[in-house]
Amino acid sequence: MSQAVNIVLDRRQSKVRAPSLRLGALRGVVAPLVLLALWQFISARGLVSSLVLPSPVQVLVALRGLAESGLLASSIAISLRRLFLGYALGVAIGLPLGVLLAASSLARKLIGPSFYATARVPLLAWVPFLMVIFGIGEVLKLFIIAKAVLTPVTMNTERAIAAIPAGWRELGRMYRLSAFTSARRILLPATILPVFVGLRFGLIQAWSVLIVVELLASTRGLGFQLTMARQLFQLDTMMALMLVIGVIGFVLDRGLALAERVLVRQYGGGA
Amino acid sequence: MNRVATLSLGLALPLAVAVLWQAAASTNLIDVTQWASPVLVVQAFGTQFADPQFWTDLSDSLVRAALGTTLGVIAGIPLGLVLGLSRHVRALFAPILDAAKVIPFFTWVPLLSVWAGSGETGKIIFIALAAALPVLFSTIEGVFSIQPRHRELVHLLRLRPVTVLRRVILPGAAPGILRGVHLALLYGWLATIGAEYFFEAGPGIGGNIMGARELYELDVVVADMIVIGLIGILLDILAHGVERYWLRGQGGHSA
Amino acid sequence: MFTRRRFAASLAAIPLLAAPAVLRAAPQSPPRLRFGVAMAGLGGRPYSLGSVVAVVHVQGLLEKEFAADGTSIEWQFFAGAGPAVNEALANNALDFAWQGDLPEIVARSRGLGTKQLFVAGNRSPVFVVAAKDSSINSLADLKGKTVANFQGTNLQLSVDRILQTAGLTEQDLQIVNLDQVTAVQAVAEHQIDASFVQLGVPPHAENLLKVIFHSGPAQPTLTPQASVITTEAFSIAYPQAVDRVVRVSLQAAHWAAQPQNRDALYAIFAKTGYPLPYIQKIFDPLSPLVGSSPLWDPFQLAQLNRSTADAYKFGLIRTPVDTSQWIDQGPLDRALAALGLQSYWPKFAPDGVTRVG
Repeated sequence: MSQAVNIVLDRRQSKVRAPSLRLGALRGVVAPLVLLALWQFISARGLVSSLVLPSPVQVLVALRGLAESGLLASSIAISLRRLFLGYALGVAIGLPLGVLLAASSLARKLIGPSFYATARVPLLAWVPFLMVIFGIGEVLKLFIIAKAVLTPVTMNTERAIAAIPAGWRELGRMYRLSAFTSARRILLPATILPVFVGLRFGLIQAWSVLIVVELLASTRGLGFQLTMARQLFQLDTMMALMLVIGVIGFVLDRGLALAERVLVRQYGGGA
Repeated sequence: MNRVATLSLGLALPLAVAVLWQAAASTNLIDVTQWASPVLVVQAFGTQFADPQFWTDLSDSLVRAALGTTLGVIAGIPLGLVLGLSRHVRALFAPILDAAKVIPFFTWVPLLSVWAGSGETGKIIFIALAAALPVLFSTIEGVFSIQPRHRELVHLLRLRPVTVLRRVILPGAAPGILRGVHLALLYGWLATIGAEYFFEAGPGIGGNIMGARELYELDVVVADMIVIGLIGILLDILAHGVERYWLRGQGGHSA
Repeated sequence: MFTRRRFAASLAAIPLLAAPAVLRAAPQSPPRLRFGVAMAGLGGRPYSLGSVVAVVHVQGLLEKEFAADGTSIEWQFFAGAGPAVNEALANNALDFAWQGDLPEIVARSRGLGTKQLFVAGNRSPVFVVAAKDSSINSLADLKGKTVANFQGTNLQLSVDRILQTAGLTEQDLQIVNLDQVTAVQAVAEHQIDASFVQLGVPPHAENLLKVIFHSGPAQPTLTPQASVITTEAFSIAYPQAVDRVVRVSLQAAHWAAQPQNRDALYAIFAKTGYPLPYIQKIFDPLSPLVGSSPLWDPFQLAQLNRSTADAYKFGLIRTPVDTSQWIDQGPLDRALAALGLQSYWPKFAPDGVTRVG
């Protein structure tokens, strides 16, 4: 009986599927376009004062102004440099730490509780403390970004390694594989996906935290420009910068998503 | 290894740090007025706990968090259900949702403070947004996790929509929804502290910690930081408990 | 253009269109009066210093004045200074504000409807501080260095003018946007090279810093100015209330101008949490008479125009602002007449030093 139902349903679904495939790609852009049109309409008609809502055109003009003055390029460069440095630091500490926590039960008991306790304190609560200790220079930003990255990377790495079925490690020992080969043939394929998820999450966290810190303790960079625009009540510049910040975050995430898909194809069968 | 040994190992590191810090402070290796000391932190705890103003500030923050998170959850669940159930709606809004996921949340602060004001309204809207997003995404996942055979049953039995909602969808999506609420509690608390930093100074523990930073009172900063972290942990335990209680009868169904 | 303020104004104008009899019966006093102050005390305390507004606030003068009318007075103190007040104004959350000239100009350039009422807290001294052991000893040494500025506030214009005297612009320095407290600490800890500071050097940082520039009494044109403004909507809806607010403030200014009230004035300022010796150090060298003056004399008028032109020149506003209709002398003149204080305060020429009239 349920089989018959399934067939009926499948057929029904397939009937709906065909036309939607053609429209599918287009449907995605409908909502953003409608919103954009609505926005343009509201500001063109002056329904809301331009003090509070600049028109899309004004935002684009502001964006062009930022680009032409070179301010956009230099701010992006500065922010991205901070991001990558902090990210590299966080990963450089996070990966080995994750491995250590997974491999050594002593380390897990000694360092684990402190690590998880500090991970529980929201990063924002750390900021005033770190500002007192490091001041407002580059070191502060590096440290905060590294910490934002460290937590997910370490946790995911530890979990990934701990999740390797014991039987696999047995396999390595049985075949008397060297530590290196063991790592390459067993450890890597088994853990690379979950670790990568941690790496990807860490990058987005890092980008968010960077913007927060740049908003608070501005020197240069995108967050600083955003604060400047806010101080001078330039909403169009503010929105232009938000657009840029969002796009960069999007691109970073998509980039890693692509890399993740490549990895899935290579190692997907693993766990 | 028995419990006591495990506990003492876990405490070893923080204790070592505290001892070193206190030693450095007591021997004047570091300047106590700048770097504080564990003893001063404990004293700061004491002075704050004794001060009624501290408790009013803390409860102000908690109320703010509660209001904002509740608003966010109330908005997020129905939206998540709609998006989870309707392929068409989802396709329409997919790019916007994807974008929303990766835009750093605090980028909205300057805009919100202009649109909603830098007072309580702005803060609560900010917290609500921060809470709504995880609820939204988790609810969608929760809907996805409803077993296909349950959906077929619905078609077959031609149940009324309300009954479908009550008997099939909500119980099925419950794990996802509850996970979302759990995240909303945590993100809501985070957003509350952030709102108190970025919007205009009002009563609250976030405001306290920033004020202490301005006055370079590291002992108060550390004490407040620990309080904020403890509340985060409490919320986490609370949410975990609620999840387990709610889902206790659903062993076979959970996603 | 249909803006919120026009809508509010047109709503408010409806009763005015009615017959005089109805007009007489219309509400003379508002149900509430919201005053925004572009300053907060130490750690965000809801107090201010340096102007007559602090006196009006602490002595509860508005509360007393409007007590019989049942008007509730709401004070808001903004640690984010002028820019934060602008955000509140844009949200129609305030009726009166005390702000520096630059944020007022920025708001006006974006279309916010306000009226200038009287001057409050003028000629604040400006310092440039560097770490005691640094190699910076003059303004010229600031070139290429990291210097803190509180952007969007009236300090920024002073900064630009001061830099100009040394032939520099903001672009020659690496400007960091910081609030005053953070800025001074950052200099003391060698994280940035120097900072511009308004009013004075905070006490706990004094021994660690040296002052490399000070806008003395001979250079009032370099100092920041501030004033009290009201929204156009409020001034159209409740002109009598505006008059009363100005009159009460002038009474407070007169009180603040008397040397015998100096200690009481300092006690009011001290509510911000700043220590008394610090307050004394800032305000003792300043003349209470000049400092409390609410007049739009030739100096203040010239400063306003200078600030407006400078704001455009330094790229802080995008369109030039017209100040001709901005100042509403009415309430001020009426209040001076009512209190008999027309010749109490001295008037100065545009250079701020030569007395006129």
